[in-house]
This record gives sequence, structure tokens and C-alpha cells, in this order.
Amino acid sequence: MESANTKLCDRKESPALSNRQVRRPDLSLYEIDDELLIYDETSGDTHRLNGTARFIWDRCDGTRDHGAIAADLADVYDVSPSEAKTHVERFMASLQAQRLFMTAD
Amino acid sequence: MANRDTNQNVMHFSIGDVNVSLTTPIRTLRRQYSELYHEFQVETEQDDAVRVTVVPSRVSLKHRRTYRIRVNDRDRFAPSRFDEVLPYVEWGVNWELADVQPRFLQLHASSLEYDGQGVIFPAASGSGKSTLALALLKAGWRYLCDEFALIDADSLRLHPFPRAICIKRSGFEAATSIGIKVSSARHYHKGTKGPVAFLNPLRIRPGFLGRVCPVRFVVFPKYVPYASPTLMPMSRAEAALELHHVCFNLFGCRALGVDVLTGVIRRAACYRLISSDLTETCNLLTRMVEESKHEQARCA
Repeated sequence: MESANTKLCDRKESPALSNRQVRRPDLSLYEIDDELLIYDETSGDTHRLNGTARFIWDRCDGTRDHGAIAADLADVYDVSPSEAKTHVERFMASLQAQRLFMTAD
Repeated sequence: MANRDTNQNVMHFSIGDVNVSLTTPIRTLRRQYSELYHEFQVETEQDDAVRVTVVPSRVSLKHRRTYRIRVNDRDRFAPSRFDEVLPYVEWGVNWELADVQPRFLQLHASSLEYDGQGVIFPAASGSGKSTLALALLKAGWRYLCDEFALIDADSLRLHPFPRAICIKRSGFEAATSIGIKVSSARHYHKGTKGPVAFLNPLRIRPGFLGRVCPVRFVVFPKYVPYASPTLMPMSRAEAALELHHVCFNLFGCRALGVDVLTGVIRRAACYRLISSDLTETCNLLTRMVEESKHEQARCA
């Protein structure tokens, strides 16, 4: 369940990147093999997440910051902690740009 | 179902799952349409028919003749050349499909059936969908449609709309290479696309109309001259994302379009196809379907 003190990103201004992202609860998610398709009915856009992207997405529940997610990523995949952190930061920025997150206060 | 129509200017057709009624005083147009759809002609109008009316305007010193084309009581086109009329009639029918058949999710794709297995070929206009459909029909596949994949939102099965195959001038040579004399077919003019020929699929291969079938393959074709025909597997999620972009009625379908798309894609194998020589490409696709059938039999 999403935290009660979360709010939707301001859609008019590009929001500052928070360090604890929370997935928007109104998105439709479709598991297809090991990938995830995200359908945003508000914008009509569809997004595809591959296995690694999905690993990160699944952890965007507001309880972990980027460092914790990067540490999980480095544990499971064959990447160094610094590479994992870069990867997580870039991915989060791209999802934020696509307005797929709420921001956690 | 309406009463039998005795008006000589009206003709009714059931073209697979799509019904069309054409009303026009222009005898030549009725004959041209009938050449393409004679086998699908029925005596009565169906309730969900797309109703097309074509009326020529009066000619005067000030006004050139135009042909007023109304589709389901709305003015749609007014071409001035007679050889543009039939392509616009076809276009008008396509346009109305989403309204008259909301039970179908409509994808911009050609669709065929081989041995009970449905294959859809999603692609943009001008990518050779119709030419490939023509070649596959000639090679023994069953024809469903050269422009649409009509997918029932409940059963997720592919339905036939065996409209006349529209070959653009760029495809004439390829069609001739597989023994289809496009030059002897009547030529029309289709807006910015230039000269086109419409071919009656049942004259290409009598009896080879596709039946309602499950979608087993989604193949994204790309024509590359002189390349070796190749099939490259792609992920289902990637295919679903691309299908989303070629869906005509994602919001007009009675179910949530993405639900239908993902339902279809989970049951299908997905590929990118480099197509080139038509005979070799058809052989490759036939092997793809037959090998899958053998694999299913082995697993069973």
C-alpha cells in the first residue's frame, strides 16, 4: 500500500528528483515474461521495462533510497556499487521525466 | 436484418466479418466493386453494415464534376477523378470500421492463417504488407486481410476481413515476379500514394480465405532489397509496445485495448523479419509456422 503522505508530481513543472521514489498507483502493469509493460491511462503512453529496470522499479515503494536500491542491484547483478548507483540514478531520472512516480515527503 | 432491397443501385456485401452496402447510380462503379467482391455479395443489408453512397455532382461551365462519397450518412470525400473513387470507397469503409465493429481491436497489420495458426504482420503504410500478404496467399496461406488484424476483444481470436488486396506501384514488379499479372488488373489512383491495383484474393487463390483463428505469431516485417530473408526473435514486451503504436482503436474498443494486446502477445511468438525476395521470404515464414506446429506436437 502506498504511504498516505504521498502526492502526485506537479505536472506543470519538472519536479526535483527525490531520493525515495514511489510508483504511481494508478498505472496498469502487465507482466510479460520477465519484463513489465506499464500503461499510463492518463497520458495514453505505454512503457516497457526490461529485467534490470523492473528490478529497480519493484523497489520503488518509498522505503528505499537510491543508495539502498543500488546496493540491492550490485548484490544481484554483476556490477560494481558505483556502476549500480549511476544506473539507478539515470533510470530514476528517466522514469521521473515520464511522470511515473509520486514523490515521497 | 433489413428486407430484401430491390433498388438496382444498391449492393450488399458480407466481406468476412465486415458488412458493406454500396449505393450509387454509377453503373461502372458498381461493376468495379462487384469485380472485387462478387463472391461476398448478399441479398440483404446487415444491421451493422458500413453504408457508402457515391453520387456524381452535376457538371456546369463553372463546376467540374466531383463524386460525393458519404459513409454512414457523413460526407467523407469528394474526389474529382473517377479513378480515385473506388480507393476512397475502400478508405471510407476502413474509416468506419471502429464504429461499426467495436468488438474488435484493430491493428494496422496484414493478417493471414496457415494451418489454423494466425499470423499478423504489423507495419506502417508503404512497408510491403500487402505485397507480402499477396505472396503468402499465392504460396498457400489463407488470407484474412492486407490492412487490418481484427482481434475479438473477448476471445482474442483473429477474424477475417478479406478486402481486395491493394498493391501500390512500387509493388507491381514484386507481384509480377511471383506470377501475378498486376498489369492486367484495373488501375486506380489513391491520393498521394499514386497508382494502385486492387486484386480480388479469391481470384489469386480460390477458396483460400482465412478462418477465425488464434494469433500464434506477430511478425514485424521490414523490406530490405537484396538482403537475405531473416527472422529475429524479439521479446513479447517489445512487441506489445510496438503493437500499441499501430492500434487504430485502443480507446474505441469495448475492452481496454492494452488488456487485449497483452493477452494476444502472451500467447504469440514474436519476430522481426527482414524480407526481400518474396519466394524466399514466404518459404522462411512457412518453415517458421510448420516448425512451431511440429514443436507443439512433440510437446503434446
